[in-house]
Amino acid sequence: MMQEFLQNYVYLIGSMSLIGIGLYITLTDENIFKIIVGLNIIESGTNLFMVAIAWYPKAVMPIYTLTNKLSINGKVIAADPLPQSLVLTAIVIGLGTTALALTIGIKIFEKYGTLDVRKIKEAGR
Amino acid sequence: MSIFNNAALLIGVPLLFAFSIPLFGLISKQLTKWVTLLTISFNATFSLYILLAHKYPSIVVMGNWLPPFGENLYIGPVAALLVSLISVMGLLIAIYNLWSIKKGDVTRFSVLFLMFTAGASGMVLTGDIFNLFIFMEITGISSFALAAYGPEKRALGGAFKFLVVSSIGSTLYLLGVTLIYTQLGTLNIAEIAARINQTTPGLLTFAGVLIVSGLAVEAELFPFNGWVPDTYTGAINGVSAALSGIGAVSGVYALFRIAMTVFGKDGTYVSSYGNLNFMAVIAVLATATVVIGELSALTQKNVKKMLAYSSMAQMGLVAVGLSIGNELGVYGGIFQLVNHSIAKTMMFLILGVLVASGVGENIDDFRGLWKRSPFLSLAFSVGAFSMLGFPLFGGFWSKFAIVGASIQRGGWYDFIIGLVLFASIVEAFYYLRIVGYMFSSDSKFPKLKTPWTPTIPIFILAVSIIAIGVFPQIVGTFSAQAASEFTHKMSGYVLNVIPTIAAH
Amino acid sequence: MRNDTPILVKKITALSLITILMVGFFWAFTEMPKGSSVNVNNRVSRLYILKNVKAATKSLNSGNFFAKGMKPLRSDVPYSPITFGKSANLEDGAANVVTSIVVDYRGFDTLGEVTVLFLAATGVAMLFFGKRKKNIIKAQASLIMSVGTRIAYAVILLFGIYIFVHGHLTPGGGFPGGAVIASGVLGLFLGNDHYESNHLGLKLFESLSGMAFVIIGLTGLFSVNSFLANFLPTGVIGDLYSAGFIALIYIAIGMKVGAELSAVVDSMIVDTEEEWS
Repeated sequence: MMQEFLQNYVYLIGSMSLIGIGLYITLTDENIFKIIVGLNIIESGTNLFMVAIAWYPKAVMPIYTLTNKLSINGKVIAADPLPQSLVLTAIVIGLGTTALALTIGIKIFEKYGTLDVRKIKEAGR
Repeated sequence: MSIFNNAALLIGVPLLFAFSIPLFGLISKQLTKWVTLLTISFNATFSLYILLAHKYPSIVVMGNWLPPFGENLYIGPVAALLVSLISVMGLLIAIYNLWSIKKGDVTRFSVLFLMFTAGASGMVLTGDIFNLFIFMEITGISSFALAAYGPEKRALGGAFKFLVVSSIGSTLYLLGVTLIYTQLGTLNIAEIAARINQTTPGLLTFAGVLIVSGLAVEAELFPFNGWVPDTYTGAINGVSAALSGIGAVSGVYALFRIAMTVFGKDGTYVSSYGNLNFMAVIAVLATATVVIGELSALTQKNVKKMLAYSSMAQMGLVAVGLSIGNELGVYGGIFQLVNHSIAKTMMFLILGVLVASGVGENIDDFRGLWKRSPFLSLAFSVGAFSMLGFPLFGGFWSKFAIVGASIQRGGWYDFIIGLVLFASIVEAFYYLRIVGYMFSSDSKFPKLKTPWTPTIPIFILAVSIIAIGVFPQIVGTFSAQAASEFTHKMSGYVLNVIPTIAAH
Repeated sequence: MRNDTPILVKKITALSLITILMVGFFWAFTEMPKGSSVNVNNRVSRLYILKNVKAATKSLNSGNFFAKGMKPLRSDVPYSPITFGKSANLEDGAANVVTSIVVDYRGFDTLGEVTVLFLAATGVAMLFFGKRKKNIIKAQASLIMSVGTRIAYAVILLFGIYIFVHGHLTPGGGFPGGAVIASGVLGLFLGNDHYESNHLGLKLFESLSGMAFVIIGLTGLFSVNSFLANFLPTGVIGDLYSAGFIALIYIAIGMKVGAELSAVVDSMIVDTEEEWS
């Protein structure tokens, strides 16, 4: 029962909590750097979710080697490789977004002298 | 199904030249703008050829794996029309950029602008739901960087806001796509569209909420459009023109491709599978966007901010038209999308020329502009009249069609169209105020010297608004085909991509 | 992010939004296959793992792939068992199925992904454009650090190359390999106060490898009549010289990602002064 629960839900709940935490930070925090961290947490949650739906108990890795057979009697026993490849893409995209966000953050600090969203708003008025 | 694999050049050639522009930049910075211009003009020529030679509907197979196994591009009537629109707008803005972008890192600006246009075309063309996410990110990342470009401080804040909202949106979209994948095991839009009723309604509803809210960010729908005013105001005028004339087009297309083709249920009026009718939800959100956008625009003294709010409101009007869900409504919506793209691009470019020659952004600076620069004031008024939907201007026909469609539908759409018409009156008030300012009073300032290069795109756009107004069938024929593609899910889309799906 | 909104209202709004999201997720979780009920045989990945997409295309064209009610019959597609080191001339020769999906079956995604990274690097460099002042790392690196990073750089470079060359056989590929190489360059920056990267070289690497990717794709278009199609023989599964164009593409991606991330490090680590004149 416990094992069943862990196998079914633990990654899903983990990813969901990460997304929730990240969203909370992004929506409420006033510091630009922390907002970027929040975005990254959301991304990690999404990536964990996508890997979690690819996996099932006793799945083997989706790589052909001398000892690793991916199918038995016409039934595939490997973990789903498609979400894994999507995660690879999503990670790289997240990296690009983060790099750009950090750059804009650095630029904002250079020009406004602060990372506080409220002060930036006031300076813009 | 006809296969037209050479259309992959629409993506391949811009990519090739985007990667090589840094090398051209080693020779000369100013050369890179011409490389961008020529590449986009290749795209424009090729897509116009596809549109006018009627090479659609056809699919483009990637990597020799037929859909639904590999990835594909789908060129239907909508995609052909919108890709032509995006490429032509990109071409005209690139001509404007020849004049306006002289300082800063011109080389990299050219790369980003080229890929912004190509990414928007990719979003319109793609036939794979995950590939749509990739193109969203290409368009997104290039637009964040473009929006932050410029010597002004306020550009950075707008760009950062856009980045945060847009990356949250695309994450939500990705989660929705993954949820659908767990039950259907495929990422091809056509296969998902055909088999959407095989998912369970709860999951489908939640995935739909995630996807629609993710795409609504780019489509500028309330409440996901908080970034619009800041980003549009902060960015330099050429970028604002590109965001409203190119980015919003692809965003609204993606939203309705998913809402109508993937979640849609065939019928007199398209509605959605699942517990929630997404078309109705979008209609409500779009109405809120129109009303809030127009009312906020009314209070603005800054013309650029006013144009930003008006752009938001116009996208809401497009979404209202498309969400009615019958052929006339979609016809009106697509027509309005074309009109909005042309007029708003032109107005931002005019504003760019005015600001560069020393006229301020405030509404008071527009007093007596008629005496100072007759051509620009006339062109601006043409754009404003098209926005308002005066007869003999492009916007008339689309607004007319949208109103007609909602009367045809009846029910609570009467209420929606009432609100939209009220918002139009508000819109008329503030646009006519500017036009009045421009033509009424005298100005003590000297005549403006209008540079030669940016007047070419402005002239072309102004002429095309009047041409569409006088001969609406220029856009109307294509937009009618597009309407029939959007409203007939199986025969319009799925069977063109996977002909044997309903063999049994 | 609105200034006027009190912080409490903002927090409550955020919490209620998140609660709605969580409830929705739970709702979706109860209905979606998870844990032991995940069945890869129901998904399109089955065809990728068994490498019988061509057979599936044949049955699609004859109208046998979709059953009544448009349910796909993925398990009915004929396939031949694949033995590592023996099976030759498969439709896709990569032993690593994730790689075969990333580069071959869904190669267009990867082209887009490379473009996203390229655009991000371009955007970063564009925003940091200006007169370069100096390395912003203030602390003096010790001798061990400065010698060690240089020795490590060679090893890291070799390891990165190893990873992307073996992308079709083992976990890894162009992106991890490129990131490994960039970490070596970051080490050089940290270890040497006056390190200057070769900007022209980075630019050349970045552009030429990106162009190589697109040109490989265009070669597919003109020889096999489909963009990004494999135009090389696939060989025996498990060999280093197998999998057709996958190795070529991964080499291009590896060089590109390495150069790009190094350029990002380079532009972020050096202070610049803006000039708009």
